[in-house]
Amino acid sequence: MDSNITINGLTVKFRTGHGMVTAVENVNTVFEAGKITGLIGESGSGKSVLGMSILQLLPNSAIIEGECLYKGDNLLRVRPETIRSIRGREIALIPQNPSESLNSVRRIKRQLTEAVTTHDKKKKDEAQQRAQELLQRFGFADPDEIMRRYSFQMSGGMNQRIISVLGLMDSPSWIIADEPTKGLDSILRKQVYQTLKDIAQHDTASMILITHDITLAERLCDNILVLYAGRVLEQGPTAEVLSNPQHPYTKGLVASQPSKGMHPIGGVMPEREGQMAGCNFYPRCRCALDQCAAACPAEYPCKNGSLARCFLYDRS
Amino acid sequence: MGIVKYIGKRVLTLIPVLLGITILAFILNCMTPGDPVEMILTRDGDVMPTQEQIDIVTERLGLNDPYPIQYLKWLKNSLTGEFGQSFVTNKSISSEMVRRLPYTLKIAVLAMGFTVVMGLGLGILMAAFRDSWVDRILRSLTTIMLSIPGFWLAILLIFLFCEKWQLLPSSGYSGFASLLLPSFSVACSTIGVSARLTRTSILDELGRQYITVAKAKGLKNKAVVIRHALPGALIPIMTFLGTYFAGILGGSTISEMIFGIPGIGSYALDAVKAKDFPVIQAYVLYTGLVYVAANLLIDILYIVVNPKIRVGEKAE
Repeated sequence: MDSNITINGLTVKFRTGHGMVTAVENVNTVFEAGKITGLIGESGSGKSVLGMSILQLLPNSAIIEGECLYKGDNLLRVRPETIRSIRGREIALIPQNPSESLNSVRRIKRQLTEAVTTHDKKKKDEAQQRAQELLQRFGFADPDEIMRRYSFQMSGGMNQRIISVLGLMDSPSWIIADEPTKGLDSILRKQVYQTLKDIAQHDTASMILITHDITLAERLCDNILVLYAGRVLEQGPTAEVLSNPQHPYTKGLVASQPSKGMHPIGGVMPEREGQMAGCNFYPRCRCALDQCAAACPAEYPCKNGSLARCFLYDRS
Repeated sequence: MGIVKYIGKRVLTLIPVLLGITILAFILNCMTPGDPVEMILTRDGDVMPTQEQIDIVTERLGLNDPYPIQYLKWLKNSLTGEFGQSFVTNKSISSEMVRRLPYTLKIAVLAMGFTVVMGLGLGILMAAFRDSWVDRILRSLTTIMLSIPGFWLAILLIFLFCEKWQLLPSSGYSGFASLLLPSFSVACSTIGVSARLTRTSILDELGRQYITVAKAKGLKNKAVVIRHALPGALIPIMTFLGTYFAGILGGSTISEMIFGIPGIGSYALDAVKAKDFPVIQAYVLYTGLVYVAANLLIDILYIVVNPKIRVGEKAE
C-alpha cells in the first residue's frame, strides 16, 4: 500500500458573509513517506487550510474539491468513522498555539490518554505508560505530576512539549505540525526544532511542517512547497528551492529573510474574493510578462528539478 | 489552602448584603401608608377602637420605640426565627412558613429537574446538530417555550390534562401527580432560555482551538461535545440556573395560586392582598436569604467546574 499522501487538484473555498473566498486552489503534490515536507508561505497563504483539509478538520463552511489519497482512500471523501480511525493513529496533528490547544478545564492526563483510548478502549494502561515515557523523553522529570496538572498551570514552552507528546501518543505514521514556532521566542524556537528533529529520528520521519519560519524549514525539511495566495508557486527539494529559487516570488521570499539582508517584496498579497484570471503574484512581480495577467501559468519543470508556476519556465 | 480562602471571601462579602436585606425589609414596614395598629384593630370594619385599645396594641408591637431600636429588636427576633404574627390570622408567621415551605420546595426542585434535564438536553442536541433540521425545529420550539406566559400555559395545561384527558389533578395537593403541572408551567420558559444558552455556550466552546485538537485525536463527535465542550460551557449556564432556582424557591406565586398549592408564594400573595405587613416582611427576608444562599452555592459549585479557582491560576 502507498503510504505517501498524494494530493490532486485540491481546491478549498469558504462561504463567507461577502461571498466565496478561495483559500487553496488547484494544489497537486505528493507528500513522500519518510520525508519532511515544508509548507511555507505568508500568513493567509492557505498553508494551514491545506494541512487541515487532509484530516477533514476544516469548518463546515469549507467547500472542498479534488482528492487526497492515502493508502487507497480519498481522505476528503471517506466516511466519518474512517477519518476518525485515521486521525491520531495514522496521521496526527501537532497543533499551533499550544496553550489554546489544550482544554483548560481538563487534566493533562486524560487529554493525552484519550488519544489512544478513543481508538481502543482496552489500552488504558498502555496509554498511561506511553504518556509517561513520552513526557520523560521530552524533558519532564516527573511525568505523573505533570499529568495531574491543567494547561494553565504550565508555561508556553511546557505546553508546546505537551502537544508534541499528544501528537505522538498513538505512534502515528504521519505527523502534521501546524506552525510550531508561531509566536515563540528564539529559545523556544530552538526547543521546537530539537523536538521535531527528535521526532523525525525516533518516531516518524513522515512529516508535513506548516510554517512561515523559513530557517526552520531549511533546517528540517527535505522538500518544500511555497504557497502564495492559495496557490503552490514552487515545489522541490529544500536545497534547490531555498538556495536556488526559480519562481520570482520564492526569490523575493528568500531575499526578504533577515540573514539575506531583509529586502522586502513590494506590494501586498491580494484579497481572494473571486479567483484571479492570471498569476496571482503578477501585480507584485518584477519579471511579469503580458501573458501573466491573462492566464494562470501551469507548474513547469525547471532545470534543477523544481516545479515553478511561472511562464518564465514554459518551454513549449 | 486556596479553596478555604475563596469560600471565606465569598461568605464575608455576603454579610453586608444580608444586613442590607434586613434593613430594606424593615424599612418596608415603616414606610407603608396607614397605621398598623389601626389596621389591626379595624379589621372587622365596623368597630371604632378606643384610645386605650390603641395604646395597648402600640405598646405590644413596640411601636413607641425609635426606629433603630425597633429595627434591632425585630432583627434579634428574626434571627431566632421569630417573625411575629400575622395581622390577619394572628397565627405565628414562622410556623405557617414552615408548614408551607415543603410544597414550594417540591415544586422548585421538580421544576429545576425539568429545566436541567430538558434545558441542557435540548441545548446539547441543538449544538451537536447545529444548522440541521433538528436544530431548526428545536430552536423554534424553544422560542415558543420561552415566549409563553406561565399563567397562560398553566390554564392550557389544566384544560388539556385535567378537563379533556382527566389525567392529572387540577387543584390542591394530593401527592406527586399534583406537582407535575405547576412545576412544568414554572419551568417551561426557563427550559427555553437555558436550552438556548446551552446551545450558544457550547457552540462558543466548539469554535475553540482545543476542539479541533480533540477531533484530530480521532474522538467521536459525542465525546468532543460532552467531554470537551460541555465542562467549559457549564460555567455560564450554572450561574443562570442558580439564580433561577433561587427565584422559584421564593415561591412560584402565580402557579401556586392557579393550581391551589398552599406554598410560600400563595402565602405572600394573600399577604399582599390583605396588606399583612409582618408576613410580607418575613417573605422579603426569606427570599433575600434564599438568593444569598443560592449565590454562595453557585460560587462553591464554580470550584467544582472551574479548576482555575480550585488550584489557582499560576504558571511556573
